[in-house]
Amino acid sequence: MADEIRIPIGSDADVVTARRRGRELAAQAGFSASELTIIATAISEIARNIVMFASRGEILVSLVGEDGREGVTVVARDAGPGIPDLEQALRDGYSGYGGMGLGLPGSRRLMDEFEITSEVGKGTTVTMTKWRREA
Amino acid sequence: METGTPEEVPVVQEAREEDLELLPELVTHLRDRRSELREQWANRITNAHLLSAMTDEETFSMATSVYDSYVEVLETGSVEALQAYARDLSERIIPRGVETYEVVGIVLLLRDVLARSLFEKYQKDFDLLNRVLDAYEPAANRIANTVAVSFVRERERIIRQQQDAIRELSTPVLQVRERILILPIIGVLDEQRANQFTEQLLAGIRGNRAKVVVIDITGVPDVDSEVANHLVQAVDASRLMGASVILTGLSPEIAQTLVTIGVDLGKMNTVGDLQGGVEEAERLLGFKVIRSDAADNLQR
Repeated sequence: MADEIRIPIGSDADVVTARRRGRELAAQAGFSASELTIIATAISEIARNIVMFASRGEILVSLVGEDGREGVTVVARDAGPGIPDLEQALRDGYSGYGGMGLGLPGSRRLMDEFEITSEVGKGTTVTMTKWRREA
Repeated sequence: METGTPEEVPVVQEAREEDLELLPELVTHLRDRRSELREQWANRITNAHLLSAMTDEETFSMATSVYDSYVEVLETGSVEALQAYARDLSERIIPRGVETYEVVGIVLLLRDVLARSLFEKYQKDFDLLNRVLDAYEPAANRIANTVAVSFVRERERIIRQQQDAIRELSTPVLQVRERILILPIIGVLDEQRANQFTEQLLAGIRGNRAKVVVIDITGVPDVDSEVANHLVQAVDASRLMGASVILTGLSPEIAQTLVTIGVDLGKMNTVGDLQGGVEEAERLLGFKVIRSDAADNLQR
């Protein structure tokens, strides 16, 4: 099976697909059941953000290895309106749409590494990685 | 939706009158060379690794029907019979996993095989060859279009059917005891199903005058902040209608994830599994379940 998958995001159905396929790929790296749920949820939160704010984007999930440990990296990219105030967006409870507003800060807490770049008018890219906890 | 009249595929090119006179000759040529050209085509299909989901017999039988339909369109100028055949064929092969690119691919290969045979026959007379192609191409392209569109339309019809079936998977409202309802949710809770679920929940509360509702989410594969949002709203609405809600079936993994994201389910009464949830509901309403000594001997 492949080490990397790309999922176009344009609708709610794509969020479900991204979650499912991301989980399947991560399972290959031997993550535990709870870790898989965490990864799937983080993908879901980010994917929903794309649908909500940018309408369209893509998510790349790839298996990574570093210094003998295995993990999975998720890159979510869109060419949407961008986030004017990153600090605000990363704060709990802030929501641009009247929901719980937990997408970004939530995903950040779920994953081990989290990076976000955004430019107003250009788009947003989120890169997050989870490393497998050794037994 | 299912009407007898086939939907028209717009004609993209028109052939000139004088060129159309050549069609009968073309048709005769294609009929005479039927076996040979059909075999050439079948070989091309195999070499291109198309229709791997079908057996050789099936491919041969389909090749024969498509070839004959193809020639018939050239002869009659009408695509109706072809459309009907294409619809029927699509209905049969789609469940077998045949993809759109395969269907379009084989029709284009047939187009190529027939065109090559025309080149071969008329190559000595360049002007005549051009006129033959002028007559052949619009018809050939219309055939390719017709088959591809029929196939895609059939896929869309099946998808719509499946969507309707999924929507029908409504949440059952189960009354286990007076004033206690159980609502098991199965599957993905997207926006549409969430609204449907809430409607049924509230209607169930009113219809059964329920005071406690147990919502079981064992069958929900993933719960993220959006799903949690839907649940919270459903619970709030239930409370407004005078019913308390007990949420059951939250797996350890999902519970951990929700806490990490920061979903506040604090207002919700949650119990590990459905049995515990029902017992809690009964307790809330003052029911007590006592095992009596005079139990029936259950036949094994």
